Amino acid sequence: MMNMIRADVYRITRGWGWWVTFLIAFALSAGIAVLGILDLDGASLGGQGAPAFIVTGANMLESMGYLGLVLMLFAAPVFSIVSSPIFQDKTEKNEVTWGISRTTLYVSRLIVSAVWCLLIMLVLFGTATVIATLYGGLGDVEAGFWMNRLTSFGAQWFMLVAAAWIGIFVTFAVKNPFVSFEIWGAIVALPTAMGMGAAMGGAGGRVPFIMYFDITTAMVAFSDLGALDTRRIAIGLAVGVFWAFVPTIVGLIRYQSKEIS
Amino acid sequence: MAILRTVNLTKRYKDKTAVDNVSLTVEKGDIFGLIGQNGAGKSTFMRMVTSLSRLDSGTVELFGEREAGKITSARTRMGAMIETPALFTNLSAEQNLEYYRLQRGIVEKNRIQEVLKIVNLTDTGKKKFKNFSLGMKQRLGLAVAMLSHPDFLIFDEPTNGLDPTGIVEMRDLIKRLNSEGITILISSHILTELAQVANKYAIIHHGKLLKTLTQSQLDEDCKRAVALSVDDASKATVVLEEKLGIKNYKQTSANEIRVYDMLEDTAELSYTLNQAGVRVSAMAEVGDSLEEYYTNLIRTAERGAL
Repeated sequence: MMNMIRADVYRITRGWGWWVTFLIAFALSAGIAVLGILDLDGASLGGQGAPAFIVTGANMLESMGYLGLVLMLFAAPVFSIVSSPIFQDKTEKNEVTWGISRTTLYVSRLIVSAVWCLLIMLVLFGTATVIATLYGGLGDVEAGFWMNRLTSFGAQWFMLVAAAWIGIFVTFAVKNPFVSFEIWGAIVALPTAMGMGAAMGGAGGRVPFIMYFDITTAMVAFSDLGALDTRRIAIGLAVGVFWAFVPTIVGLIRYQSKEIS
Repeated sequence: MAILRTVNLTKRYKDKTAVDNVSLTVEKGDIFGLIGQNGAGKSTFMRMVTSLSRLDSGTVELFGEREAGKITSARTRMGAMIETPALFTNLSAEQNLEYYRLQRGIVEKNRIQEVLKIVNLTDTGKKKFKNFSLGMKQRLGLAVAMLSHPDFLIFDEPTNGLDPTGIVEMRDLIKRLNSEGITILISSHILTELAQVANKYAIIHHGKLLKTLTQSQLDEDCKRAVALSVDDASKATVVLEEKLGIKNYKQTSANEIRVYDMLEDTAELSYTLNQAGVRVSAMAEVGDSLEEYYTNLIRTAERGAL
């Protein structure tokens, strides 16, 4: 398993996709930090009429948590770069003929994608936090702030991993990078877009309730875990567990008997 | 020692049986040639042996291992190139090999240069796999198969798409690997090509194994003979029997005779006939080629005689 992971990391870091993904995360994070520093009245980050946003490392770290929607989009290059070339270039047959089990082949890609998701989050949240800290210091924080940040960060990472694993499941199932990308988009983004559209259009009742079960909505909600009630956290985590493990188990079972071309 | 043993291997696709109860054994040191037309079931057989396709029935035994877990680890002693070589298109030859070196836990870093040298691809530099010619791709596929010092190699139509020089190089490489102790299972529909490397054969037709035979059995079956054009065939037969003790011959006409013995000493044959007053005007080695033999076998099978 470790050899598979090492080889995959070697392959991924030889392509431009890895570096571009990090560059985007870095640029986005740095841009947000600079915007925050330049726009000290809070119009950008706090909204009109909101109390002035004091740029400190702690404030910036807290604000970055609200980027859940953007963060979710990073799952796309992760699952695509990790799993698509195996099918595009048909290299899985080299692995299977050499005696690597199909389970190892699948699970190693899950691990690589989970670690990559973590690194992306560190770059995305870390860059802005470091810049803000350099500008305004770390700032005063309430008791429990770091624990709240850590658990929120962990919960969001879990949701990001779930989104990436959906993509890996779909790629292993259809073995076509373009089709898998479309299906992934439909699963991850479409319910959110529909729910948001319906909510903004004034539709009440069941639509916002359905959004509780949407992976992206759960990711955004997890930006401040401390502000959520236990029921909301439980529903969000259940959504994550469902999307992370149900497709993965189904995918693993299906892959055992699949013909490899 | 059997490297590969299959028993009643069967694979069905909907209403078609691609491989039908194929049982064969590849012994250590063999270059085992799998002959069959396109669609005969050669690739499907190899795909089952390498676990790319699941078996509908039958068993595969590799290095004496048959159980699921053990056969998976036995596969690490094997290298295979099934159908077309499949490598990462955006990586160079060296990068592709480094990927598989890491994946297979091969400690020696210089193994990459060793296999590149074997397949004559040391000068490709940063050129990406997608820009390789078909011949180069085939050779890199072989390099990946050889990377982990395998004891057993499986090549499915390795000369496909190669130019004549590439075919000769591939043939020499296969012979060289075999002389180093590697057992090889190779398929081809180019029979004359296979005949130049293999020492055992299995003939597959419509998924069924028609025959397995060694090179010597094939030679026997192909009935190689010396065809003699003489002035008096009747007199020649007397000389053959009385002077040379040959009984394995056939008079095909008043002036022609086929001798199935003494193939390696035709000079003695000619000399003895001449000394006895039989004039030999022409002498040639004749017999069924592998292709003729194969075609006859297929025709017989299709008539239902086998």
